[in-house]
Amino acid sequence: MSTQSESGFELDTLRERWGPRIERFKRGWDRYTTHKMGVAGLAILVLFTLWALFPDVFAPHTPEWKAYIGYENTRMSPEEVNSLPHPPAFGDPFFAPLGTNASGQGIYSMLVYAAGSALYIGLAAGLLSSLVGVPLGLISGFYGDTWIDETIQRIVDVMYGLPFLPFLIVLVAIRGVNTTNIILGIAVTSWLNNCILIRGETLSLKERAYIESAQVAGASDTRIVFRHILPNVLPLAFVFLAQDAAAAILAQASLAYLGLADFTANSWGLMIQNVQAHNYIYNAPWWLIPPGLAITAIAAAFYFIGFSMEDVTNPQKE
Amino acid sequence: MSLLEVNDLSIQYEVDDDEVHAVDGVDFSIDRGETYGFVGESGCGKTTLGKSLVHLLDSNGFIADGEIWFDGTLPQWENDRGEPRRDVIENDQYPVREDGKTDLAQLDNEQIRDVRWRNIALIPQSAMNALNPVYKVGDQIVEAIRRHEPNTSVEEADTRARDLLERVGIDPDRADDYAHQFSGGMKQRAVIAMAMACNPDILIADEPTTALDVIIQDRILDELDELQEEFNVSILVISHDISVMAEICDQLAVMYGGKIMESGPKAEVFQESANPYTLGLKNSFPTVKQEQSELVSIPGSPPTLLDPDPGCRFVDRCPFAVDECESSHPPMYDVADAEGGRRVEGDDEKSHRSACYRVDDLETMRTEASKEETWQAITQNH
Amino acid sequence: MTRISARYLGKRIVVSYITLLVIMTLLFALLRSMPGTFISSMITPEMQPEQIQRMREVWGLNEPLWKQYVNFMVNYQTGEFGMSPTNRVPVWDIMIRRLPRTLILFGAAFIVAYIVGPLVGMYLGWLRGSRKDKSIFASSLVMYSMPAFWLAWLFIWLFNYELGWLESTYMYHQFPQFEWTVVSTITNVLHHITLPLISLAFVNWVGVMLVMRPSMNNVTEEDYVFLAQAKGLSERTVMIKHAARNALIPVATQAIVGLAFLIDGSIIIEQVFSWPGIGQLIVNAVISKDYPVAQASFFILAVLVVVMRLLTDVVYTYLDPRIKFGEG
Repeated sequence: MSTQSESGFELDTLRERWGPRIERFKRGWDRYTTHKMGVAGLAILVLFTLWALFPDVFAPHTPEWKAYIGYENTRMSPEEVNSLPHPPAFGDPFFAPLGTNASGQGIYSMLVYAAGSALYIGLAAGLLSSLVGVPLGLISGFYGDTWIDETIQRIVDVMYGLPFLPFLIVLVAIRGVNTTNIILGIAVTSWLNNCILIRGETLSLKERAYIESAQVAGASDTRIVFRHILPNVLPLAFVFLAQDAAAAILAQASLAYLGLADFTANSWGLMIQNVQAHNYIYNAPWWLIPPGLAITAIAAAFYFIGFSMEDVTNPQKE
Repeated sequence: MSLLEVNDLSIQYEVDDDEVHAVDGVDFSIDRGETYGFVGESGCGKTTLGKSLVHLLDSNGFIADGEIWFDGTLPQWENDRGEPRRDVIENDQYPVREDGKTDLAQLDNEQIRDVRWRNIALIPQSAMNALNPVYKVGDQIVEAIRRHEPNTSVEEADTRARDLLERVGIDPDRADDYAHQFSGGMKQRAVIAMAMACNPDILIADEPTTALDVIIQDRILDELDELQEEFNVSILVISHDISVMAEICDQLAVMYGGKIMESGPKAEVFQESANPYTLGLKNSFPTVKQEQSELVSIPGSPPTLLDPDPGCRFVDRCPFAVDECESSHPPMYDVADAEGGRRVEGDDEKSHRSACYRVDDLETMRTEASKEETWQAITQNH
Repeated sequence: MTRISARYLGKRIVVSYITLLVIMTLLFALLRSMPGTFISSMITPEMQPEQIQRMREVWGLNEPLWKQYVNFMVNYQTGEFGMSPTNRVPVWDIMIRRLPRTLILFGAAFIVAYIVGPLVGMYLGWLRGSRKDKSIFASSLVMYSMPAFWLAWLFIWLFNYELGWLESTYMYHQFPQFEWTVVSTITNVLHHITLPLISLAFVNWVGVMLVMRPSMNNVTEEDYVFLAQAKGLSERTVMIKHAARNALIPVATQAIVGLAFLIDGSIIIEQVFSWPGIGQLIVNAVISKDYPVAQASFFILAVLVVVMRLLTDVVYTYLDPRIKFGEG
């Protein structure tokens, strides 16, 4: 009996605590869906996520499949080899909806199977730079105009002077070309924006009456930061996460083009690079265009989501 | 003859497919050289009203109905003597009527720009921030002069700008300064000087003294008074501050919920207030009535104006409301007649009028309204 | 016009210099943190131990680390970049030959991006929320999302391969009987620079627009813009002279991010179009493990960023008379 009422009580407090947040989220969602751009971005992202999670559902073959021979461990005849890369066409002895590349792999299947690595790089780099940038921005803003703030801002200042891609090239070249290093390299420079903008937001939040009253009431610094400031800057942090993810995907593609990609992992950037490596830029549009469009689509999706969220979190608009 | 004659003006804002009736069927007229005041709580539509005269509403606001007859017309419709051309008056395409007045409500976006500043200058609410930070103050005045008098040379305009600054008590050499080098009061005066640059017929001053301290407030009001005498300009003052109105207005209109509740000569509106809202507003301000020692505010807040109910706008907060008040918004009754116990609609926009069904029972309202309990009773009733 | 105080300028120069020193230190640490020494990749199995020893000496690797660091810092600031092991010429010579080419392409793209970006941003910020704004904004984000090299290939395919209008490699043609008059040189270079320039600017103006648009939008809410309207000024004058002029102020500072993007872009674009500049050099040097050249290219690009930042600071003080000179 008593436990029941206690759990009921807990449920009530839980509802009391989360009710307004859920309410706020719902309102935010309603405003978000008024942005066609944001909805489109979300739709693209959902599609690519499905590709990444269930590639076998969407793709007719795995990347190991080859035209003419399928999964067999045999060789193609010279005529067959000469017909590669093969444009999409009806009446082929094999099924490749977007044609094949020079080694006979299906372009469409490759696209589907590479979605995972694009999402991984984007989200990992985005998360990583948020994990660095948001706390530093919070600290810098909360202790605004003290030596802590000054130090962090000087570091940011210096880092801004670092040419990003050259740095990434040197770093990856030295530490080895693999996905983890690429992600680390991207995160090392992309946290700067997060840090600066979160700092600005924290500075302005700090001036608000409720924070001051919490301070007067004797709340500790950590409590104020985590309970009062962090929840308010979090939506903004997601905005940057989305933008960083887009930038990371594009950076990875650039590296792949420069020959600094993990050649063991299938990625859209690498697919484009292979078009050049096999010298088919002008002759195989079915091979060149789809991966470029896929990169554009996923980066645009992240940007769309990011900027729509920015509008939603910015209450002064409309 | 009146300088500005506003008939049945309604302004709406479109907000999420709904229409907000910010100003609803307002009539008033301003004479040359007169100071006309609009007073009311924030959100009553007085700023919207001021901005609408020269089409400076936010992009979602529009004049839904009504006429704004102004004694004057566009430069291209004038003859050599500055009067509207005969053919313009006779041609129905132009919104100019027989007595030479132009309906500003019918002008399009480009045409109204010629009226702004040249005929009607509007000083926005926060004039302190109205100076562009990246241009010298003097140059901003020169810009206004040269916009409406393109034949004026830069040097001539510059001399005039310095004269204007001197006129409002700013060292003419400060024309070469930027806004951030000015104090708050100086910025305000600089904007007033700028407003007089093209010798306008009407000056609309939106909250001219808010955000200034009391001493500077006084100086600004004196300044406006002197300018009015010198330039013979009509001033339309918009303020929530009754004490400002008491100081400078000739005529006064009390606004509530997008409607004029009471209007007339200042002294009459103040001393013989004939509307519950005016009475309540007076209670909540310190300087007007000496005998009132304690301030009593009107409980509740102004209505939202989103599809308003048919009844009197003030009915929810009015301690004197009767059933009739729920039926429709009252017309403007003549107060002089009402003092004699008769309820007659007043036609003269200059005379003392009040929109209240109980205007025939003035004595009761005036005595009751000065008591705090009267107002507190509303909170219990609702 | 406001004059910049020498003190303010001096302070900015000192800050820039310190930034550069820190970046160089980072560079030093990065190269020395490689497994083994950074010359190990240059050592081939056929080399004699004496050769390797000589190499270590040439590179100063036998010195203590602090001495190496001091030498590195001093040498770099005096333009002593060392010899390129693959080209067998002083690195400085390579740099001095390549830098102007990079500056031409980079500078041209910079100008285009910083004219188009603010203009479009101004227009969108002024119309914010309208259907026009939404569709143009979404389209420019799509442009911004295109991989630069892929887009460049599409341009090459269209304008060079299909239409044959423009050149797609190198900076100019060296025909045997080419007369190097001013006009012919300019048209020659224009023929070559147009495609890389378009490819570079196509993506990068968006970065500037992304700063200008919200800035413009904030400014339109300002009272001085309202007053400008009330003065009867034309919409154009209000938008350009009163709103955009103020909206540009944050663009000058925040656009550093766009600047960094532009450098990244020019590395890729130089590679695609075989533009013989620093960007192409650094990539090739890294791939062929020519570390002296890679190191120096990195340094030059860092100097470029730092100098550009200094310039934006100066521009900023000209744009905003509120800056308190010689203070803060």
